[in-house]
Amino acid sequence: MRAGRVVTTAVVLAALAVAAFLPNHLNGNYVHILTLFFTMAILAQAWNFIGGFAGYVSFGNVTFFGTGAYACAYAMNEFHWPFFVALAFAILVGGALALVVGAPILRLRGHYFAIATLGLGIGTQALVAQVPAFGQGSGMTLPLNSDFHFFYWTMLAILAAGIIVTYLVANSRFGFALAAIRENEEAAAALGINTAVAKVAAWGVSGALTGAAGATFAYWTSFIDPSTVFDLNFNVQMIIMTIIGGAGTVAGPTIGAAILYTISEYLGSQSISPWHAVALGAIIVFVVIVLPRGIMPYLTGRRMWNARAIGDQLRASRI
Amino acid sequence: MLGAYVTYWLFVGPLHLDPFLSIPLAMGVVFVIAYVLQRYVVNLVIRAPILATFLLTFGLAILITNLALLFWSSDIRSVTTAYSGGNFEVAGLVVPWVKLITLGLAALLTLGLSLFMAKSKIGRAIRATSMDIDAARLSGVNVARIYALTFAIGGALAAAAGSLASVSYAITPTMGDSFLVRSFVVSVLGGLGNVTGALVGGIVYGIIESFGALVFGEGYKDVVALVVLLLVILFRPYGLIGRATV
Repeated sequence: MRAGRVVTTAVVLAALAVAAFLPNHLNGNYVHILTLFFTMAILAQAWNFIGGFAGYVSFGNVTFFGTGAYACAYAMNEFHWPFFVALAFAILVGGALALVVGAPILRLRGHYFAIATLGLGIGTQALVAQVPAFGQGSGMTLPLNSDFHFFYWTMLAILAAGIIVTYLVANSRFGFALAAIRENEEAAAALGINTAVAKVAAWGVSGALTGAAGATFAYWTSFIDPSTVFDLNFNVQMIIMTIIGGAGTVAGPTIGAAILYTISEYLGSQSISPWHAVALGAIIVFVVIVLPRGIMPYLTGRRMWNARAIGDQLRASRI
Repeated sequence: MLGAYVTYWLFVGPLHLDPFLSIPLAMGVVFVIAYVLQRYVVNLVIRAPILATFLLTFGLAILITNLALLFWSSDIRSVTTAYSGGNFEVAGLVVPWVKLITLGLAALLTLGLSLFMAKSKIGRAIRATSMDIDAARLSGVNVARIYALTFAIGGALAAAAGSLASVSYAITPTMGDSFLVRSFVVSVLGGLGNVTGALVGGIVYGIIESFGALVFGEGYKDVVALVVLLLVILFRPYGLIGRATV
């Protein structure tokens, strides 16, 4: 292990330890804000598998969030399963759905993949809104649990698990295979990587993790409806958070989530006017142009934080 | 959305311009805005992975939509002309005038665009840039300008659609959202990079959506349309009438 990695690992572990004890010392409002932050960070970590490592820009990951939420709600209401069993069920459903739809869809690339995944999310939302067992458009109510610390810890645990899995993947043959696919898929195939299996597996992991977040979110809010849990904005946010932090890095998505979430919470607390969203749009534009690789490479010292480096990178991508 | 607003302001303003006459103006205004955005903003990331362009344009959409919300508020506006509700009957079919003219203009714009792409020097440069950007540049094409022009033409056409929509739909800053996904679906149905295909795709999509609603119920029309999208994308990614080149 290099020194930088030891420091990073220590920082992450310390942050998790502090986070685990925080709710006892905070008022309920902050616990709520942090729980939502963990939710977004999990979604970003999950998106990172397919979008960051494999380089496939999915606009359909919110499908697994909604599916996870509905799987949990259905299992708790109809089968009367305890939450953690329902959570496991939602993870399975999210992962399985990603594998099933991934097999055909991941054959597509570029625009076609993005458009197909966009269609997947909107189509699933429209479909769920028609199924009587899922309450159609009016949604489902879950058993009430007002112990908000429980959700805080559950989300934190899922996030920690997500980061650990990402770390393991990033340093495995599987992770290297995904990076090879991202850089050049033909070359990766020529090296003997089974690209179809690797891509679908990456989306499966992504779907399972997203499903876990969806299930916990459903139990937390105790009410879900199609337009909330299939909201395309979740998908856009997970992408932007991952990019801000650094796509294809281990902790980047969580750091990106922290940055974007802090900014948008602060702006949102100042005024509820569209200025909030205007600023968000401006941040996205700024980040994509100036920091396309996110801030992780700068934090770990792989890239120098100076005007010349940024200028070089700008020159390389503009026309 | 911007096109619809241009039409609206010209209609309620002192000029009291007919929405159909304001189409060229709306196209012109949006053409300029789109050209500047592409030339000086989006071109900055054009050689980065496609994700960058996606996200950047998405960020710009959020920015512009919310600036519109700020300055024009979320009030629903509409353009109501003397002939808005007018229609005529042919063999028992009720045909609204506005929709018929819209169809005619869509066909006209498609014809114009496909002639422009096939015959003009700029059209040829656009096709060359899309095939091989380096080869186009070597042949003396100013690719930065071509990207800007292409986006501007797309913007102008969207503005024309916005002007046309303003006569039959409510005008709000977020009105564009519901058209965005449909425009993706229609382009894919027709085949990306195929001008006449887009018109065919639009008609086919409209028929599928309406019949889907008729056969499976109103709530299922999006599901049916998107299932068709996925099937087309998987089995005929070059569009319904295109040739297999991908």
